[in-house]
Amino acid sequence: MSDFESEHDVAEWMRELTAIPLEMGPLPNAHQIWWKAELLKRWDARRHAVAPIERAEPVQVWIGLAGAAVLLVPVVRSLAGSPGALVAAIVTFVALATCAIVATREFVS
Amino acid sequence: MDERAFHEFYAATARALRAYAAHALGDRALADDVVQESCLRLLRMPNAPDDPDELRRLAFRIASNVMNDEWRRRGRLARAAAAQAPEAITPSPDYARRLDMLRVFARLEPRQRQMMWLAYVEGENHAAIAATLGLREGSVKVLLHRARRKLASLMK
Repeated sequence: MSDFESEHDVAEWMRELTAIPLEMGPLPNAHQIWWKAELLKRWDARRHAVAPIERAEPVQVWIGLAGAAVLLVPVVRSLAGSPGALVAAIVTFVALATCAIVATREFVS
Repeated sequence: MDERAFHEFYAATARALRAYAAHALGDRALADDVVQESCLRLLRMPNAPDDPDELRRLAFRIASNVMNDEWRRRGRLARAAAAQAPEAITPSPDYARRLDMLRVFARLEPRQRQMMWLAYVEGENHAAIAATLGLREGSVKVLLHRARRKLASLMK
């Protein structure tokens, strides 16, 4: 190998480099790549289509929970004289809230 | 792009793309992955150009990005190790010289290898190289000069 005297030498050296036959197997199969891309495109389209639904799912859960909280107020008032039923209603609400938090985490992840 | 157009594009470009990846990465096994990933990304693009030259340039740009992602993933240590690995080449009378050439080229920085390949093998001008590698056109001129100087110094 000699030092480069000119741009032409660099080009010549690179030409020689590219002419070196590397031991490589056959190219990846074009047909397989095409079908993999088709599957990925369908997958992308599906994800794109369901994205608004997935975004709305946590909102639905929290709207449901807010509704339950609103309903809890008259229940608490009506059950003021019955501590057992009151505790059961509050426990149910806490359980619902926990479910909502877990569901939201699932949706986000 | 329809299936027939892709097969034509692949037949015309895949080998050159793999050679670019193999020399720039210094890793022949990964070169096939780069070709496949580049084609997948190209096919999934909603507005891929119809012009074959533009498509070829786009494929090289995507391949460059895939390689950059790979270098980032592997980190500096693995990159240095990979760059020292000699390529397997077919036996020939000037085997030693050819191996030397590959070793010298592998000692360039990854970006320098990409740049030299695009400039001298693909015959791209500074503007096209800048677009492919995400650099400014002015930087390409300077970096290419440095790459040539380093190549010359490695050969001494």
